[in-house]
Amino acid sequence: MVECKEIFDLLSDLIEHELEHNQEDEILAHLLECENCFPYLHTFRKTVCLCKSIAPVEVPQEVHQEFWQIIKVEITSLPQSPGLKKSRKKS
Amino acid sequence: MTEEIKYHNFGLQLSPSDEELVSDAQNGDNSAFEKLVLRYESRIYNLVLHMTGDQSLTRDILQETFLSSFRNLKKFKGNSKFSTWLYKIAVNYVLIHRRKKKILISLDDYKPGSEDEHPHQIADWADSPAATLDNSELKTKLNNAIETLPEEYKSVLILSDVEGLSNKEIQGVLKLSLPAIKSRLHRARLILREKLSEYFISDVKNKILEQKTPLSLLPPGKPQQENEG
Ligand SMILES: [Zn+2]
Repeated sequence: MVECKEIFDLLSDLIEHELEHNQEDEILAHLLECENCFPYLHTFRKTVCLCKSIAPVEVPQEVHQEFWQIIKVEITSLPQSPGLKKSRKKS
Repeated sequence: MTEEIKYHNFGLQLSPSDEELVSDAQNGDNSAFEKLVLRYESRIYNLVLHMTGDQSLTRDILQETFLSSFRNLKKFKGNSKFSTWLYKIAVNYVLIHRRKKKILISLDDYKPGSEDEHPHQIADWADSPAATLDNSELKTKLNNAIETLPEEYKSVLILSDVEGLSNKEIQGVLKLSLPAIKSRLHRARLILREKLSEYFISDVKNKILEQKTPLSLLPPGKPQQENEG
């Protein structure tokens, strides 16, 4: 018999289909019968889905401009033309 | 599924490829480095913002990450993807700043209560109309819930479920074994599910209070006239 506690530990593996077939079958059988685990799985899966649907935000314009300026300054302060790869001083 | 298309260029071959740009940049082509910056600016910004929840800190770390990557570009040997290397630098800066601010939350404060969880408290809110990210309240709640995860769980969850990195890639960013990544990711999801449950349960409670019908959602009592044998 599979216990509810064991199911909780395996939910990530279950939703990512990383379980052995017979183990998956056993768990699915439990889930269908257990009124605790079934809603738990449902909300667990939903939680993961919500995270995956977080859309990236745009970098605010002023942040981007300041950032870009700093990068530009850094790049141009360190001239790196193709012929000057070994620019480290050896005194 | 939505998770596959979020960062559309993640799995696609970009032209020129990261490898080509890195190689050009390492040979002194600054415009190649600029292309890499533009390619990853938004992704690093979002990663750090999720990890810190602090816009001004995110601005600083964004700068530090790319300055550091530029200064150390020659040290990048291509053993991992460039993006993984960049993530690693950014995550390290987040950790450095966090240590400075001593806002590391103890692991012991958060234990998923799966063992003690009372079966009756497992509310099935997954199909609730409120349970989509079109709901801006939930969006805020979700972001807050992620931010307040213990650091050990948070990085893994953000890299995996928000940023869409594979466990193998996460291994390149964090110095963790694959089993450790899997176990932390799982615990992070359990904690997060619990935090969201609180939201949904309190949401229901608020609605009940608003309607001033606190008893209406309780299971109806047995009718008195029921036969008793
Ligand atoms: Zn069960």
